[in-house]
Amino acid sequence: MKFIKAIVFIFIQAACFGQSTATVSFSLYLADIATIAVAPANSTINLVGTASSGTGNTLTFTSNNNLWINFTSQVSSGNLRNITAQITSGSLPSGTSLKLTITGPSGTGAGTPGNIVSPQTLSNSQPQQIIVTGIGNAFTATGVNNGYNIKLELDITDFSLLKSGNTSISITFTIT
Amino acid sequence: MKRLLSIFFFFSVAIDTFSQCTMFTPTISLGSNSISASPTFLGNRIGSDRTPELTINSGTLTISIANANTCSNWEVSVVRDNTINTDLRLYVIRTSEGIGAPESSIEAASLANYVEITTLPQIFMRGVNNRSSIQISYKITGISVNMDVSRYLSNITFSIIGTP
Repeated sequence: MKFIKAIVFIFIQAACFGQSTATVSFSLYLADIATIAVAPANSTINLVGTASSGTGNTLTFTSNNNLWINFTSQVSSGNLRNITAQITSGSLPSGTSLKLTITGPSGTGAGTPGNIVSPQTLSNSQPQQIIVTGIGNAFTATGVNNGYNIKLELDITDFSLLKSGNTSISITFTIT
Repeated sequence: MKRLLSIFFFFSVAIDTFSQCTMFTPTISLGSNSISASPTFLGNRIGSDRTPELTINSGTLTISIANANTCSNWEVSVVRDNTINTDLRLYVIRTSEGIGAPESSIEAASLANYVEITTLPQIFMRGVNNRSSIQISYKITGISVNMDVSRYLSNITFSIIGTP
């Protein structure tokens, strides 16, 4: 008889304190990201050629390593990105080429920042040159001293073609 | 025979006492059965990680409790399945008391505190009698560019149970 009592008690409890449910489907979509910037922003770099003292000595140019590449990359599983550099406006002075030396990454970024392909030489009418490859999900942090450092040097390839004067070029960095 | 009759009498009284209860079970319904978020990455964040936290507010994110007039005390718990990326953490918060008859109420303690939605049921709120349009919002943490591009899914289940 105790058994029957227990059954009825359970029946009452179940009927009175029954359960109802409602389900919501949650979806978070993280799209791909490929953004890049040079720090400091809108920088103008001057590479100045100076003749060494003394007859017969060569011309030397100043170099510059003030620029940093910052980027954020988010990719699908198995995909990787590259960073390329290209002269996109203006022309290098005749008889010169531009050497890019990439170092780093430095700073407080995280993830898979890729591998350096360096140094690279840029010249007029040259296609994009890969300077960093194998970038996965990563960010470099922002501003100078974060990301990849860029050192720019102007090399003389043919002294006989050099002429005095000022030349402006633009270099475009692209993450793809 | 007397014992049987007395037991029958006891059952009759018991069932009669709870007859209103036996006819109703508190039910729960949601204003929206799907939540979708796709956070943008702003241009001024180049070089940064994604914003790790995202809050989802919408007028349609509501919970309503019905059939609770008789079994008036109820308790809502929340649980999720285990399909979502383990780096992501989901939370839910009640942001309004909803609408109800004067004799209904909702426990104040569940306001202003996020409840993490895990794979184990967590008590979300308690109340008395019917309430409708109880506003809720969700929070997701752990968002990062270090996660692959993908759609991250999970089913979140709210359960209501009548309580003594």
